[in-house]
Amino acid sequence: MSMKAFKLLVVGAVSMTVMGLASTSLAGGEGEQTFKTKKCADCHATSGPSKIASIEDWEKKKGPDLWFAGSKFNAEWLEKWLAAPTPIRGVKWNTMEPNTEKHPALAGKEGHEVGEYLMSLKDKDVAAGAAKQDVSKPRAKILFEKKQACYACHQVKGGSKILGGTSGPTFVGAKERLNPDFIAAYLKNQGKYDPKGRMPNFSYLTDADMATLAGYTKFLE
Amino acid sequence: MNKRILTVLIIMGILLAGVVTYSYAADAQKLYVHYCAQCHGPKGDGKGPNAAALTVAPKNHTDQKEMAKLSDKDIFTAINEGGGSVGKSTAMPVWGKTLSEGEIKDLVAHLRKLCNCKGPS
Repeated sequence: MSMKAFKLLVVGAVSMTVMGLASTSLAGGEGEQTFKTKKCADCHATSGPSKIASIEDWEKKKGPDLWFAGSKFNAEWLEKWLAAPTPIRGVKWNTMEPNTEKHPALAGKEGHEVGEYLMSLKDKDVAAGAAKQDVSKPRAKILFEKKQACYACHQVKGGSKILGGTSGPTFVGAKERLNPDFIAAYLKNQGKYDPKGRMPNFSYLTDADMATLAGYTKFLE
Repeated sequence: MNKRILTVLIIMGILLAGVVTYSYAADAQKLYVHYCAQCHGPKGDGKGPNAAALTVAPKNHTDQKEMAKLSDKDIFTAINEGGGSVGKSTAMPVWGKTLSEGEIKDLVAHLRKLCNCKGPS
């Protein structure tokens, strides 16, 4: 091969790579563009895992990371929530004060596209089937409310009442909101999803207990 | 000359002690507000945002009489292994996988400051 042919080959390969990267970027499409123009990225990280290594760093965050949103949320819930957001946390982000903040809404085409973009952000460690499928509701409830401290920070429905603490995200409606397999991945490797976050590390639980707690999500209306 | 060196060393020692003390106090306070305040409140009075929902009220760490009943070891174990490990509420989680031994010891010292008390001798 002559030097000229070799150079042409290299230029061609580089051009194709650049075009390929550009088209990958476009695959995020309108939703990714809207996410940027609406300044969602000011509060939410879409690339990760986070490199936060101290409480001081964590305190600088303005909202939860979304780089694994597609593995965490259910698409239908996400689009509905974006159109009419309601508080998920009882306390205002990074404070102990009641949450009175109004999250910006994105309805219609914009909401749908941003929802699609966020659902494209997957994490490979959220394994399908990690949550137990045939969970015994009473046993899982005892684990959630009595044996472990989940209930102290996360609200759940108890009959017609809403019970539980407010410092963590609510689990009222978790059935519609969350992918149970994400809960299993989170319990197993919390430091990956919210390093230095306020939730205690539950990595000491057995795999069976993690799978049961994750499977309990489907009962949380 | 020796006297001067000694004086400088003493001043440096005092400054260093001040820095160490400050660093401990700031770190323990930060840990407390970040983690413990969720139930025990930022001031340690047991009035955190989760308190109202709990069937067993979170300990008021400023209650001198109650806190004086607990040894430093009791407090360390409750933080490290959770409330259930010391016969208290399981709503107090296990923090031993989140905090280092040194951080828990700092928190024990911080609780002693909040109650302005010592444990049983």
